[in-house]
Amino acid sequence: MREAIAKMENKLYNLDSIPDDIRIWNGVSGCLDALFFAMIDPKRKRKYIMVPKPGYFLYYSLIKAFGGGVIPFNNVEEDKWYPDVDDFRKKIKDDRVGYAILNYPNNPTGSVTPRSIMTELVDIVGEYGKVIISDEIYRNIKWVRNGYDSVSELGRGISKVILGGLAKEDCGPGLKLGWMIKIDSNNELTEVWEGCDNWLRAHLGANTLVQKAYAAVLQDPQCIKDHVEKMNRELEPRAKLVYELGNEIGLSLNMPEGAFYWFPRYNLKKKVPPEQFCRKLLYKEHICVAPGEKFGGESNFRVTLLRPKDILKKDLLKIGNFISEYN
Amino acid sequence: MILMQVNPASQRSMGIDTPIRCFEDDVEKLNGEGKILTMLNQGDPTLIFQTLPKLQEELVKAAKEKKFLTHLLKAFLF
Repeated sequence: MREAIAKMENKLYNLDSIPDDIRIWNGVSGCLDALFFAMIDPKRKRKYIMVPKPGYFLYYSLIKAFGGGVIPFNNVEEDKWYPDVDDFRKKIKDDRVGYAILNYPNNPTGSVTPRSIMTELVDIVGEYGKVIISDEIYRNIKWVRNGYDSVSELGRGISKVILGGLAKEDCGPGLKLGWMIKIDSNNELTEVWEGCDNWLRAHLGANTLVQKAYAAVLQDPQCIKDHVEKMNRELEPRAKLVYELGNEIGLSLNMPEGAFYWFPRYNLKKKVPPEQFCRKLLYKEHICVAPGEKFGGESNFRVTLLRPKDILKKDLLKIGNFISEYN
Repeated sequence: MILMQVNPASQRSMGIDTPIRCFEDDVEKLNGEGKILTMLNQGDPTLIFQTLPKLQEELVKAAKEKKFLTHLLKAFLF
């Protein structure tokens, strides 16, 4: 499995990874457990990690659970949820920061960052001698051209850990197969890798069966490519629908570009916390969405593009009525 | 194909809060009352597509080679 991943990544991004640069574990979330355990060593000075805001809630929860500190950098709603480069630069200067998490295509916003912005972020990380953690679980789920697919392609000479898995692109969320790839350009990750190994050794029950199967699948990368393209063809019209209709019914949202999420803002006359808004929506209209404050949003909630268009349309209209009555 | 969505035990034991967890009791209550809910919150792509077909094939092959789980896979997955 590790050989197959190394071969695939080396071919795609002109790397020279060897199997020992790769670790397999129980999904990307499981890899994050191991990484944060290793990175947030109390003996180490730099135990703060920069995290996108809004961002995937698990980063915030896990970093805190391991005793580390979170420093959020902003994704800007008015700018298609792209990362704020100035804010990123300002915050990475903090001596306590050792790592920066990048997660594009992004959960929860559905934003796909253009190459120009991502190159700037990567270069800033390099300028300040920090390490990138790039969560690429949604790497190819996108329907816009943004000029790159992986942070592996950018910032040669900067140390990175790239995360991937089969939960999203290959539709295998319960199979719990994820991997992390160490690109240790500056020999900064030796201790972290040892810490990861300690974590992995302490947890029994490797997913051998799925690894064996997926290693065989990786011999035929075209089948994965076809599968993801088919998924993108299905998701793009749904993204257009929610963007156009959502903005007509009292929501404000950017066009979702990938990662099958959208993160609208509800516009009410008075301020209502997202959890309260979402609970009322659940009881009144029987629609369950995820409250935005858990992701670091404000008057937002997270919705997926995974239901058929007719259901999305019907529920959007219900959400519109709900907002009208709320006002 | 039926897949189980499970969080690693380590996360559960750490009491990780999730955006969904805050509604679990409410969802259960409404389900109990027979209300039909639309779950627009889930990040499970199998709601659109089946798991990569080649992955399913290879899983069966691997299970056969390993001579374990074959019956389980046949019974529950495919």
